[in-house]
Amino acid sequence: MQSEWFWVGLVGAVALASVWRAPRRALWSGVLVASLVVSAGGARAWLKRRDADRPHAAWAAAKLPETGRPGFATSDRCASCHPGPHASWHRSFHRTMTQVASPATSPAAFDDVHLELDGRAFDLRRRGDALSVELDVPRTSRDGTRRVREERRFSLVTGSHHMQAFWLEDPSGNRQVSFPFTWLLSERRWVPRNDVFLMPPDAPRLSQVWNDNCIRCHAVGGLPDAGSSGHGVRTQVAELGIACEACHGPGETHVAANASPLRRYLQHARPGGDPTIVNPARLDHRRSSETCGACHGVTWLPDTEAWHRTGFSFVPGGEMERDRFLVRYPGIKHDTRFPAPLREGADELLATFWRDGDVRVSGREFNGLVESPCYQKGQMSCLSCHSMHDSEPDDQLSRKGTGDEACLQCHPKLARDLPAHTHHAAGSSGSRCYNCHMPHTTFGLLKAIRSHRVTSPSARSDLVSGRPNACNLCHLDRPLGWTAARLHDWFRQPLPSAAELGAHATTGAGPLYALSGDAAQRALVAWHLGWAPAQAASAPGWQPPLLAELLEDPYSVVRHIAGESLRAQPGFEDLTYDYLAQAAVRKSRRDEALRRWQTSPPSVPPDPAAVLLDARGGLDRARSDALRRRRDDRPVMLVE
Amino acid sequence: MKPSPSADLETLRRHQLSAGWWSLLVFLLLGIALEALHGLKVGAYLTPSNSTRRLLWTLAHAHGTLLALVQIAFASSLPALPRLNGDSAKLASRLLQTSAGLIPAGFFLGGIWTHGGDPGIGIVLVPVGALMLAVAITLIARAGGPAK
Repeated sequence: MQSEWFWVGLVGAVALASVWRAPRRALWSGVLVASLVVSAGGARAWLKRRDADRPHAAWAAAKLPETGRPGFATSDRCASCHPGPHASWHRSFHRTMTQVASPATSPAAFDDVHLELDGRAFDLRRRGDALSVELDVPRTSRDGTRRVREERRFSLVTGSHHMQAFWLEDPSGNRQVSFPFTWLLSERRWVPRNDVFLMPPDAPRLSQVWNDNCIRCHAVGGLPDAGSSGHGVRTQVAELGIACEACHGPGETHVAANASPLRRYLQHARPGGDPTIVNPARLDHRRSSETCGACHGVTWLPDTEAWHRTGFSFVPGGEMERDRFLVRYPGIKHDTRFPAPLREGADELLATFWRDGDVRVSGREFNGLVESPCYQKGQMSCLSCHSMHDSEPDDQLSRKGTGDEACLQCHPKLARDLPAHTHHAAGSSGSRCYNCHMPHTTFGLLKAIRSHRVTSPSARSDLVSGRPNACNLCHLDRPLGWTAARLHDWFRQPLPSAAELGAHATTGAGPLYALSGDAAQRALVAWHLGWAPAQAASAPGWQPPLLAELLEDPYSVVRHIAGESLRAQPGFEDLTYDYLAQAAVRKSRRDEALRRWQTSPPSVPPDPAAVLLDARGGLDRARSDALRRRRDDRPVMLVE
Repeated sequence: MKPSPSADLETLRRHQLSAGWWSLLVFLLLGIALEALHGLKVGAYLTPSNSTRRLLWTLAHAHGTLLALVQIAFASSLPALPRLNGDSAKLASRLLQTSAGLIPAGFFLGGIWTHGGDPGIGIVLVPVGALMLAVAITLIARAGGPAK
């Protein structure tokens, strides 16, 4: 800074000296005085701003994760040589996965907002760029522990697409603890964190520490324990958010090597890429996918202590299972890399996996991919359909990945006569590869999300795994038996017996899963009842009473989805419903929905009994109640 | 009959003036073309992945225009440069004209084929042109002193 002032002063002095010798001395004197006044004003403003930034800088240095680690270059330095990829990354939701909390990074309401949860009050405030909350914190003294009001500053914010989770500073070093509310971006409201995940109503409140969990994937080069600072936890990251080096590996060597223009131009002329940096697009499909899978997979760390001290040893391009193991069901039961208690208790994973081993929770797409024949026997990788630098931020699908070409690039014969394969009209939703082979059977972000396990619809698999098959996720009004008959006729699949089918022989998959399924099945079916292709494929008019029933579901997230899907039904667009309202209020909204349905013109589908209607289109309440009594109330917890 | 030194200088001055004005026209047209690319929101010029091209073509336009004006200024100031004799005046003029072509051409070609943040190989013309320009300006500057 001092040298900068020296040079500015020197150049200014030389310029003034030359001006002083010029004619019209008086005029130039005036210019000189004016310049000095302007400069002095500018310097004063700069100093004032610098002083104002000082408290924030001191707080950030003490309370935010330290940024910058040896070996990493950070995204700013990538931009000068890779402006295009940098710009596409900058638009992505990866970049904004972790940001410093401020009004610039969050549109959430902070001005004098009062929130309550379990009898505790939270008062949110904004002072300039500082966001804070006054809350109860336990304070221990000789008289015991009591709660006192204390103001804590919001430090980090996670997410920017659907919802934002917030983290609070903590007295222990730069530890970040979760704020118990999440901001829903589309609804512009604060909701308890438990109510954005599929969690049992009696589940304990989620309480997380960023430094122990989120740092694994929501920052680059996270090091939870960088050594004692004397003030508690000391966590370092190379960079907050999911930046260039999360996928390309540490880049300092690459940057240093390419400071030489000669080397750069030789690299431009040479095929095969630069060996000083990893490009997942040039890796084989397994290594390439592992780059994504390290974060987009259900993994288990065999040595958490070592990770705390040294961070991950895996870098993109390397072997993912070097320091973490991919959890696969039911394979874990016989995988001796896992300790015996985990193997023996593997069935607890059925809260996260369907019985056929497909993962139920979103954000873990790698688990689906590795179970796919296209990956196991073929060359399919994440980059077969996704592109990080040539795509829209939402889903980041490549141009060919948005349509059937994603599959037809490897299965070109099917393209010649797609309807012969799909038995649906060309161009219809039933003829879309994704809809049959990657149905929406994972859950997260308050919606159903496509499974990333490429499978073919199978009635038997549905019966065994409980994972609704693709056919019935569109034809919600049809029983599984109906689907089994078609799959038998078209693809020679074996027919399940009537005993195997049970209620599935005569009851539509939609009503059956919505009333008798577990929370994940109810959530998925509730979402599909509002999904436009399913609305078009299923007969109209029978969905509202089912969705009305789900407005009182014990799982708050199921209620949320049911409310959204109900508003997608004709005649219900203006129905107001708050999934977190008191039970009595929710019941009144359910009654209102049923009243609207009963007073609307009856619509009798081809098989009314399958959708729990009588011959005149009225609700068959006895069957409906019987199915509801069979509801699978085993706890389900899908926290992405 | 051999033309007199002053006639030579006058011819040189006219050529230089002509080259300067034509050059100004070319780079004015380039400026209009760049404005059109902005106006039509042409992705090959405006998207972030083409920021290197945008920078280089802007530099081509700016340098070309400025050097055209320098050529005009040189031609206009020749009568006031009595120490610039025939040979050195011709050399200065040629260097000036060549660099006024090389520098913008280097920027422009470097912007056609880019490698991320690196310009295409055409950029090597720029330092060559800059060297010529430096020599030309040195010659002209030295001639600006009092006549010996």
